[in-house]
Amino acid sequence: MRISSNQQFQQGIDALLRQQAKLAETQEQLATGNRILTPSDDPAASTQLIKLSALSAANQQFDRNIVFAQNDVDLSESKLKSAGDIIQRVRELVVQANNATNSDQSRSAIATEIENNLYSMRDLANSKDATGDYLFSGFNATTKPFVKEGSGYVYKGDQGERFLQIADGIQIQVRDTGTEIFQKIRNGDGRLRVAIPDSNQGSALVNLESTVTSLVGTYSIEFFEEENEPLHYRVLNEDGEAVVGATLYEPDQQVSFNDINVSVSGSPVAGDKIEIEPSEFQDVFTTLQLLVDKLKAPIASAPPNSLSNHLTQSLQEMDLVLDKFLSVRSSLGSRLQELDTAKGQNADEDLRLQRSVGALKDLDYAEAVSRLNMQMTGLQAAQQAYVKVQGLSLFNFL
Amino acid sequence: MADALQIGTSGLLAFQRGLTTTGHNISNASTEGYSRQSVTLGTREPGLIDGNYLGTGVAVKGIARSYSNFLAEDLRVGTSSLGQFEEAAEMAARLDNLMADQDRGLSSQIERFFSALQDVGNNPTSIPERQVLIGESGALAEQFHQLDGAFNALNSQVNDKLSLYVDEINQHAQSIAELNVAIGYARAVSTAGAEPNDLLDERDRVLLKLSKLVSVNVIEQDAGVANVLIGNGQPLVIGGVAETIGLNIGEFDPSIQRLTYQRSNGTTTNITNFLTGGALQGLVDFRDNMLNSSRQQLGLLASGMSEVVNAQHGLGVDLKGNLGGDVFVPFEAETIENIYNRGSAKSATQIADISLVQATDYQATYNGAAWDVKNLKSGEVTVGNGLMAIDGLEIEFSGEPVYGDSFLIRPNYRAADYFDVAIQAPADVAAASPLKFSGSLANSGTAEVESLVVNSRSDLPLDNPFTLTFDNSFGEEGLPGYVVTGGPGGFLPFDPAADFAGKTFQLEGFGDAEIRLSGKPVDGDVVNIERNTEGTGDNQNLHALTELRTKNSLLGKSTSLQDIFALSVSDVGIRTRQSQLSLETQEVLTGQAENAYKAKSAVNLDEEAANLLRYQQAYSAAAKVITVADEMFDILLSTLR
Repeated sequence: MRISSNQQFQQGIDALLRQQAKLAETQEQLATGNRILTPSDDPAASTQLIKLSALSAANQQFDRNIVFAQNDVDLSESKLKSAGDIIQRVRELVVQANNATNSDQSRSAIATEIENNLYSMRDLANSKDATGDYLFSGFNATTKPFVKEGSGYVYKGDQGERFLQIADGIQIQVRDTGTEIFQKIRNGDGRLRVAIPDSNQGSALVNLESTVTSLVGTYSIEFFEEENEPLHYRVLNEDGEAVVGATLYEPDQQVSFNDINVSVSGSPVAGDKIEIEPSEFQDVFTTLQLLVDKLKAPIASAPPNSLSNHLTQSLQEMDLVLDKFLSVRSSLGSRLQELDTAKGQNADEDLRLQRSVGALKDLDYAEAVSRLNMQMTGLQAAQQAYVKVQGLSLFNFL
Repeated sequence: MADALQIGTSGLLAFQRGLTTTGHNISNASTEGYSRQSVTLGTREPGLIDGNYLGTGVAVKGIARSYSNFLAEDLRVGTSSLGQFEEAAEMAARLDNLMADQDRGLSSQIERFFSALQDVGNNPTSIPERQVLIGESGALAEQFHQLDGAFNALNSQVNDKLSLYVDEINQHAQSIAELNVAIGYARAVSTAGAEPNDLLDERDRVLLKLSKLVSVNVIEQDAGVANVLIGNGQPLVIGGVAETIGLNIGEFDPSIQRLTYQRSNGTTTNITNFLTGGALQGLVDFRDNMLNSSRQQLGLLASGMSEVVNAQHGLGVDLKGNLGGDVFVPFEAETIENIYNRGSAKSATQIADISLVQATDYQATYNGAAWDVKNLKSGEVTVGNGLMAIDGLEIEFSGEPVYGDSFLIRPNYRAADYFDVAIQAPADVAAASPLKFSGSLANSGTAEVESLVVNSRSDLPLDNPFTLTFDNSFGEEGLPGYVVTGGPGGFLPFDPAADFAGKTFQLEGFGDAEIRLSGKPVDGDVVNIERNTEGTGDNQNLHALTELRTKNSLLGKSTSLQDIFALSVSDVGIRTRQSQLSLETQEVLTGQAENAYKAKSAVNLDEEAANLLRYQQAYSAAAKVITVADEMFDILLSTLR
């Protein structure tokens, strides 16, 4: 085949240029450490990289959210711990107050201390977070949740619970409402409560323990005396039907019916009644306020043993408050645990993402360096060949 | 003797021509498009002497160039394809480079926007976080503008190049016409009908340059004239006359320029779609297939972003308790009338459902009875009149169209350019849900609302609260469930024994809310639903907004916002790669054509050196013949003396 001199020259030059272009690309790969310089180098991997870096950014945000959530939950937890301490102290005071040797004055002192604890409890319930929002007012973050209206405390917040997103599709509750923590606490023994009318003349001491599972109506234990008969009692339901018929009263009487146990001691007199009602939600402030009011009243003005009966029931109610706080705290604890787990998973996920990014994007240096060497050798050879071939000419011999 | 002298002289003259031609070849060894020439020698007419024909020497019969019409045509075709792929690959590489760093650009800015949303969610009452969100929204708009601006700059480059190439084509056409005239003249004046080799080379050279810009059809006529046709048969050069092509503003968009063919009689024809091959087509292909597609995809991302974010944001309430306004300025689809429309037809397009909108433009053309709306990407045609619903768009036609009238519909082409932040004040970020619920404290059961999700703005903000009261045995059939008082009213059947794990209800109106109830309510338990006033600590709507990040909300609910962009980048990557591969293949093919052409026509210096020696030796020999003839004459004279 005939080859023109121009062609020979051009082909040599083209070969050099091609080698140089390849060398330059390898050089840039080595300089940046990236295998992919533009999307066309590997379109599929480029798309993956964009998705991976988006995932990684989302992950970092989830990490931030988790820290926020941890702070929030921690804060609630510490507030509830303090609240529990307050109730413990009040419980001790109630035990102390439930002692016949106390004078009106010492009871009043106890009442004052309980009142102070009530204020502490109110302040706790009205706690703010780092940004100045109320912790326990639901979504009404800027509304003070518990304020005194009349004789009791009113909840001004709502029942909104704040969640934060800690992973794709996973939200975790970080705030509990004042309603949930401080209001939704049952009085009495949690199922039923005892109400002793002020009209009672006797000095019955009442202690209620029930194991009812479903809601029951109201009952009334009535004491009565027939002519020349000793003291009897009977139990009537809300329709006036006898649940327990006329039974002779003996001191330390156990009255049992429908899974309800009422132990009655002391000396009831005919005409006395003991009302048993379904328990209701009673916020912790009302519970404490009632205690304070009872303790402040001079004992002489009240029916005998009425204070003692109230304190007995209060002790049950203190336990219910503590139960409530503990249950919320254990929920908070499990959330903290969940957050820890999520954080760990996030870190793992991040590592996995980094690894994937590396696998897609990072240059295999060993391969690239050996390729560089090969290309340099190739270029050198092309240069030498070019010079040699171009030196060949018949004119050299003329 | 006289004969020998004449024969010697004829040899001297012939070999001198040979040496001259070889010299010409050597001198033009590097001249582009030069075809080597060679002297054709022949014997002179013999003389009849003594009954025998006696040779009378050598004569130059002609000087021919080594040239093959077929190889030249092959090279022109190859050069056209090469020009096309080179241009396309070069422009594609620019777009490719533009997208190279976008995983750090637009894509990561989208993530920052969603991160900022979550930061507000972490702290819904805090103003600084809301301010950051607005700032990140602005930065997002910046990113959209920047990328769209870069696309626009590429379009300008396309226009600049088109204009440059059109000028070059016109110049080349003019040169060819002039060369046609010169060649005709040169042939006419040569009595022996000799070819003007160097002029022919020159014309081939210009034809090759022309074919790099646009594919040409060369028809050689007698008398050495080459006629040049382009497109689907438009004559560019006929004999000594050159027509011109030009650039006109697009019929829809002035920035999308069109190639036109201008007849000397003043008519112009749009030949943009008829041109094949050459750099011109490479440019038009790049613009129509790659650049426009990237812009449409970016636009879909922008309009999708503003549409879905606005829609969800509107389902929340801001710090002042008002329903959320637009976060981004809503984008309206463009409908552009053809500047050459003759009828009075009007058209307007609304985006009805962003989840169905495609990243493409549409062209609506009146066929005399109805409108043919053609998807310019898939080629799919929908025929209709009045109001047409196509791919989530509502296209309305009115007025009196004339056959051939057309509109261009661009649902997203400019969306990235128009993308802007609408929300101004931090307090306007609608973080909260417009409705809230609460269980009554007097409830004896465990009735619970698990979730309350608002789906529309109907009846919102809520004027009056409404309640769900549980009834153990409602109506004649005594079904258990919730009686709705106020609001939508009605009865929601709920059996505590079966449904305690949760049952979802869809309200009619009132935000078209979806409410999920659970627990074991007892007779008389009440759930209140009311307007969320003062719900500054509520971040529910931000959760919903954050979920838009990964929600498949576009392209028939198959693709998320983030995916659209990745799709666009991979599209550019794949097309760039394809254009590079096409170019590499074409380089080989055209290289082969060029080699074949040059093997035939170009100068080999060694060959010329050999010729030089050959002619030199022959020249010496011919001179010797003269010397011998001279000596013979001397001998004759001395004999006579």
